[in-house]
Amino acid sequence: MIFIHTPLYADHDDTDFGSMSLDELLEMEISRREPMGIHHTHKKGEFMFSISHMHMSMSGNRDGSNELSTAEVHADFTVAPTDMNTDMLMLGAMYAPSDSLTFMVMLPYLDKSMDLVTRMDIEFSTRAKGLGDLSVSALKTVWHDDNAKLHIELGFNAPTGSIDRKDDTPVGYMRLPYPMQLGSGTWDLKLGATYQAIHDKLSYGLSATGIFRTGENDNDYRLGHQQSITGFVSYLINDSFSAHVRLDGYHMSDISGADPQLNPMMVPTARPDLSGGNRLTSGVGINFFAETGFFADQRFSMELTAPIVQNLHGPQMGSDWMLRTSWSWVH
Amino acid sequence: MKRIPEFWFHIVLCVACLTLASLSSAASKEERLEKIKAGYLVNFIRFAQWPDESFESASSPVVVTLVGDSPFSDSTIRGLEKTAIGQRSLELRQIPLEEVDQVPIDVEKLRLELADVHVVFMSGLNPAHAEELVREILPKHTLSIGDHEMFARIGVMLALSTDDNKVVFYANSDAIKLSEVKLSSKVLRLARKVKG
Repeated sequence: MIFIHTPLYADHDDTDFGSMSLDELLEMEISRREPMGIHHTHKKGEFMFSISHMHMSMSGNRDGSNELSTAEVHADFTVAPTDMNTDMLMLGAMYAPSDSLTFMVMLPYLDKSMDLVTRMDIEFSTRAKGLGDLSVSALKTVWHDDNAKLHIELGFNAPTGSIDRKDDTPVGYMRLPYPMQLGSGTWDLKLGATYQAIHDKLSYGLSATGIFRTGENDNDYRLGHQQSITGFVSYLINDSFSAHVRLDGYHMSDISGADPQLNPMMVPTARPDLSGGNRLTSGVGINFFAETGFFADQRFSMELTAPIVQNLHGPQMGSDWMLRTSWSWVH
Repeated sequence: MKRIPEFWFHIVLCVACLTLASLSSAASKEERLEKIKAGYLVNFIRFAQWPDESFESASSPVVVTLVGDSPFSDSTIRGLEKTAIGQRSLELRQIPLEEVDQVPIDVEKLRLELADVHVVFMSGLNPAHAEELVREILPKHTLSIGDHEMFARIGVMLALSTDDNKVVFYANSDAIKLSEVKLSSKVLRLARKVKG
């Protein structure tokens, strides 16, 4: 999620000085101001390649906004999850055939692990790793003035991630529950709209996005629809560094249908009706953009987010924190 | 939260990346500034009209002399020399700062060197010497450009300056009126005006 203050010089050959008009030169910024934030559009002909790593840590169980002990989970289920860690390596590419249209492709590689404990106090872990769902979308700028712009996003997620992952458990080699699967198994529609504005060293914006599942997957269920709204403020510290804060409101509805291979009495993560909820998350990040040398036109970003409020259909595992690091290169 | 060490791994990784990246970007702003200034130089030439007699032929190059501490690197100068303005190419020459900032200034030598020059781009000059250059040495068919707002105030026709992370330019309307070089109204419309 990157927010770009449009670089006006990006589509000019560095040595073709005659290609820039006086009007363009007057608007050209000496140093780039490209703070991090939300999915962004590019200038005509620009290509961006990115690699990001995200680590999310979850622990404990919640019902609504209340924390539950493992014993309370065991009152209704044979097995209680205690910790879950997700690592995601995301490869991304963006290309802009025009100033107002940018195409984006992202492919995640996921590594999920979950620690669990039985009523008999037997601890065990499960793990699943592999490709997630391929995401393809188009970002279209629908309005802009000198300091602000509004773009919409339309895209889809292709079901390239597995929904059949299994692992060893105390009762055998079993299909893993919904949160441990790598994809949705359905073709998902992505919709979004982002407003972003820049005033001197300060930039800010608001973004609303949604993922809407279609149909039902081969295992007879459909993940919940997701909606989020994000507000962000970024400050340009100097020519190369910017820092940002963000506030995310997130809603996910419950799973509909059910995987017949999962026993909903066994563990809360196998219950379709215990997968939705709302979460308010805050985040802080720092971004570095190199303008020349070996790292020219590359951006390094790091962001730490943590929930402020979680209201979950529980028992359900709560989030602890998420750390995201990314590298991107714009050409 | 059993994997806290990974958190610190990320921190160390990022700090290392940021440190490496910061080492590579020291000259970034200067390079960008240089390219923008080169863009202005080309545009000023594009929107200027010289007396026919200042060129030997229709395809004679526009002679540009960089006087003082040139803000342009060798690669930018090579790029400028490849730039075509209509049928004309650009011919870049340089007069080092030492030659202009000596006391007293060698007026006759500079007059000879600048006699066939169409554009003078001044940078890093002592204001007094720059003023003497503009008022007493440069031929009237020379487009004078300065690399600081100050130049426009001492009689240079056009001067670049920075304002709020952007490069802007000033036009000295009196100097432009006195010159034999005619500038397009587009340049004058976009310029910040000074007199004197």
